Parts: sequence; structure tokens; C-alpha cells
Amino acid sequence: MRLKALTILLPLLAVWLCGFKFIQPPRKWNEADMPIEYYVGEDSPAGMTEDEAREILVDSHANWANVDCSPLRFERAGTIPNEPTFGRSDRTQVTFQGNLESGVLAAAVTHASSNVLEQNGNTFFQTTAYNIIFNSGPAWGTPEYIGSPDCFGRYSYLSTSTHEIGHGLGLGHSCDDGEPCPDPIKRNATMYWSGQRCEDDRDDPNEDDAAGINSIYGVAVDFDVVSPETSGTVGTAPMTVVVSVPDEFQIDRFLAFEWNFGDGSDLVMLDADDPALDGLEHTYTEEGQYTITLTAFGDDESCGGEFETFKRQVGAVLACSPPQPSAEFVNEGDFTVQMVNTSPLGAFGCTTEYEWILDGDESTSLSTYEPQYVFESAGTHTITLRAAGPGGENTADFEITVTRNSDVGCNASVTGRGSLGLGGLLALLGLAGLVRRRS
Amino acid sequence: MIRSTFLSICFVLAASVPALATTMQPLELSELTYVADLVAEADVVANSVEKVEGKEYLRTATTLRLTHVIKGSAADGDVLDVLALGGELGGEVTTVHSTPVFTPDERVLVFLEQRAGAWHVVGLSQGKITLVQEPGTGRDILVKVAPPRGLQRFDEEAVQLPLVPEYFEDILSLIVADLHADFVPTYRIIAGLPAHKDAAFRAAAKLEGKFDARWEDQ
Repeated sequence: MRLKALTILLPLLAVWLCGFKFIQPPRKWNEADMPIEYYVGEDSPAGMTEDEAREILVDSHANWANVDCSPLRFERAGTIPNEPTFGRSDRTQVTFQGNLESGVLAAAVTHASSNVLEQNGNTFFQTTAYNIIFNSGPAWGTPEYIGSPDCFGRYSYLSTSTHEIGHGLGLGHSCDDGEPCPDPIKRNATMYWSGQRCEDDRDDPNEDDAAGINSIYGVAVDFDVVSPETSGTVGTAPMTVVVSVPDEFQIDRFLAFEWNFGDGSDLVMLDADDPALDGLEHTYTEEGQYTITLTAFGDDESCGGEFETFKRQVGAVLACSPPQPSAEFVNEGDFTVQMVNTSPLGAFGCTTEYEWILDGDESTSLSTYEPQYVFESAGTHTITLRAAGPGGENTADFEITVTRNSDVGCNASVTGRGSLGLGGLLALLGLAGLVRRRS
Repeated sequence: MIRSTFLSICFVLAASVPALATTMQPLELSELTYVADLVAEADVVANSVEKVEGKEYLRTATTLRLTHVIKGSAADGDVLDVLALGGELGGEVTTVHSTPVFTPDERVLVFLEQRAGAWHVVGLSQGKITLVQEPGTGRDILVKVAPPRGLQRFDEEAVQLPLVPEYFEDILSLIVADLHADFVPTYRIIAGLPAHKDAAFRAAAKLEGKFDARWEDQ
């Protein structure tokens, strides 16, 4: 059971803890295969001329070649009949007017052999080709059209083609449909899961995309973070963590490192030979979800001289204060009381659990967000709302009076409000009764 | 440790590894409802992975038993197969990002469309929502989960529920209201929508005054 929970929850959590993602299983091109030759279907995407489309395809490939330290090179090899297919493992190609599911703008299949490549501590299958298909239906626009106030109904061809090529190079989505995506850098990444009409924000790879492509092909850096108190990165504020740069990333080409702890504190710059790279303490004093960024500065011919690369761990540290439970109640009549959870949720997910306890009887506890109690008769009861999270737990007690009449309209009879440790409910009617759960 | 174990498993399994990923067009609930040929609650019965003849990638046929048909000509209790690219078979892996992955015993709300005589999920993962019963109330909560391919059985108790739940009954009432009102969303081009459906959508939107004439130029 525990293992199943882990395997189901992991995909949801992974995006929260990491920045960019790889396509799974990971795959990359061999640098010996540069330049990557690609073919283009002899059709054009709706809304554009063939020349415009081809020029933008050159630009979208260049978007990845131009990332600092990227060894990627591309060459347009020629024109092919426009026959949309994902089945060409021997040829990289872009085709149009596909027959993909509704709601799909474009898709890329990345073919890989069983050869294995290593880069920056990761293992990849060797990519042999990618096949990109633009779906039928939508019209596309040049950057000039998409960025103009007259833009209507079209999608950015540069953004979408750069996105699909990113898949062909091994990148997954920065955030997927249904996943939490609170980090604006990931939401604005070219590799975000979806695109909107007349939107050009994602035409060029941003820092998350660049860090992703560099971790596959270029110079990457990474770090560890842990709280000595919890052995994790979640705990009670104030919370101290230790950050460190693993040995494999303390390499000659890096000259200095800079820590940004994401809480407004001063940046910390360390030389490459500073022993604090093996362990640097930082204390978060206030509740929050903090993103830590490590930037490495270096000098390398393959990167064109001086360069910098970085790693962000989004929401890496969660420091929480104890939750503050509060509630209101609505008497719905017929001895039915609806709980209304008014506890502040906060912005950081520091409340993870609610529990409602009737008359101190733990065996009746309900973990629903807003349960409804149906009593058999009128009466006065104590409801305890317990809220818990990484910062601890708190309880609030409320006294409610159950009535036959609803408090809707003229028969107002029961509402209640409480706060920490206080019973605060107004009572109008009363006859003791038993409770049963709503089915 | 977990990461390296996962990678090891992947690299042992994979002899051929095509992977598909997409750029999606986000669809509103009213668009999913309007576009779908079939909207239903369903139980996932089984998955069957097959290599598409003449192709280098795998696809999965998921057998669904419809428990409550909300839109469409099927009946409660009907069984149908939904096709999607991706799967694992005999050491081969086809990874497809954004494609819905179904697990036996999972309960789902699905928006399906027919393409070339086969059922597909509208908007890939957008058209599949998992239902999980809320402990204590028995009410179904809507969740988006990404179970790993090959999971033998879906365990609702293993799903971490959102702190503030969205209830199935609420979304159901919205869908039913749309259907009873013959609601037509404001027109826009939906990528991949078959031509006859797009034409019907345009016509209906024009009748309802929900068609911007600039779409004629697209």
C-alpha cells in the first residue's frame, strides 16, 4: 500500500520539487551526430506561407543552439512530401495537417536506440530522430502577427515549434496538465504544457528551459539541501537547512558559486575552493515555500568564454507555522448542521489535514473538509476542529445548538463561529440527539 | 536512490523507446462537453497493449465499463475500448506525455470522441478525470493523478486527496445543465476537431450569436 501511494503521488510531487523535466525514459542526441539534419513537409501550416514557416523553423532550432554552452547544431536537409507520421525513426522531420486528437496543437515523437549516453551524472538513451506533427485546425502566426494588437485566433508558430523541438531534444513539460505550477518561471517556460492564442511569452526558451537543455547537453550544476532537524526540507519555522554542492559539480570550469535562498536575504557568493561549498547553513525565519537557486560562474572555451549556469529547486524548503483552524456552521433544518471551514489555507500548503471531532469522541472523527452532521434531535454539542501540517497542529472548539428549523429565511435558528480554543456558537433551539454521518 | 532504481528499471525494460509529447490547447469544461461524442462515468476494466502494425510505437486499448452515461448514445453497462498511444510490451516502451493513463479498478469521468471508428479521449489528459470516494461522506472527489504505466490495480486509498475538494456532483450538475440547455460555447477553432464537427460548431455558434466573424478569415 505504501509503495503504491508513493508511485501514484510521485508524478504529482516531482514537478513541485524540480525545475525542468526530461522526457521519460531520458534520451539525448550524441554530440557526434551534430548537426541534426531535419526535413520539412512541402505544405505550410495554416495562416503562414511556406517561406515564413521554414524561416521560423530555422529560428526555433536556433533557439536551442543559442543557449549558453549548448553544443546543439541543426541543418535543414530538404523538403519531403507532407505525410504526417510518427513512424520515421530514421529521419527527423516536421509535417503539418495531422489527424491528432481534439485539443492537441502539435506533438513530437522522439525515437531512440538502445545505446546509452552519460551527461552531467544522468544516463540517456541515444536519440536517433524526432517526428513533429502540427495538428489540423488552428491557424498559426509569425512573431510579428502574434505580437501585434490585431492578432486574432492564431497560435505562435515559433513558440510551438520551439516547444516541440525541445521535446525532440529530450525535454519534458515544465508543468503538466493538472499539476501544481506556482512558479512563474515554469509557467512561462517554452516547455509549459499548453499554449494560448496570440501569446508570444514563450517564443524564446527562458532560464528554466535553458537550464534543462544544459543539463542534457551542456554544463550543469546541482546541489543538495536538507534540514538537520527533520532530515528533509519540510518543517517548523524558524527552520535551518544546510545546502551543499556535490563533488561532481565542484569542477575546474567553475570559478565561483552564488546562493540565492529565495527569502530576500543577501546572496552568498563562494569561491570555488571555499570549504562552505560542502555545507552552508541558512535559517528561514518566517513561514513560506522557498525556492533555492545556485548559480555557477565559469570560463570555458566551449561556452564561448565566461558563462554562468544555474539550478533552481522550486519550493525546495517548506517552513510552516502551526495551522489556525476556524469554522462557521449553518443550520439546515431537520437537525442537520453543515460545517463551513473558514480556516485560512495560506499560500504554502502548511495545512495538510483537517479533522472534525464531535463531543470529544475521537471515534466519530471525520477528515472531510466540510462535513455535514445529521442529528436525530435537537441539542447542544461541542465540535472540535483539528488542523495539522508540517508546522504542528492546533484545535478549536465550538459549541453548536441543533434545531429542527433551518436558519434560512424567517426560521433563522443556528449559526456559529469559533476561534482558537474558544466556543463561539450561537444557540437557539435544543434537544439532545445522536449523530449519524451523511451517506 | 529511488531515481537510480527507476532509471535502472527503465533502461532494462527499454529496447526501443519512442516518446511522444505535445503542446495542448486548454479546453473549457463546456468545450469538452460540447466536443465529446460520449461523456460518462466509467470503471476501468483492463489495459491491452499492442504494437501498431507497420509502426514503431505501441498503443494501449483501455476497456471501460460505462456506469453512468451522461452524454451519448451508449447505455449504462456498455463496455468499450479507448485507444491511446503509449504502453509497455515485451521490453519495448513508448512513452507519451499528456496522454491519459488508465489503471484497472480506477473510476473515471471521461470525455470521449470517435476518430476513425475508435474511441479516443478528448484533449488527451484533459478529458480524463479520476473519481475518488471521500472517506466519511462517500462523495466522489475529482482528482488529476498520473499513475505509472503498468500499475496492476488502482487503489483509491493511496491517492492523496486535495485539501479543498472539488466534488463530482458539482461538475456533473454543470455538464447536465449544459446538455439540457443545448449549450453552445463561444466558437473558436479547436485543434484536431474533425471538419464536420467544426462546421456544426460554427453553425450553432452563429445561430446563438457566439461567432466572431474574424474566424471566417482563419
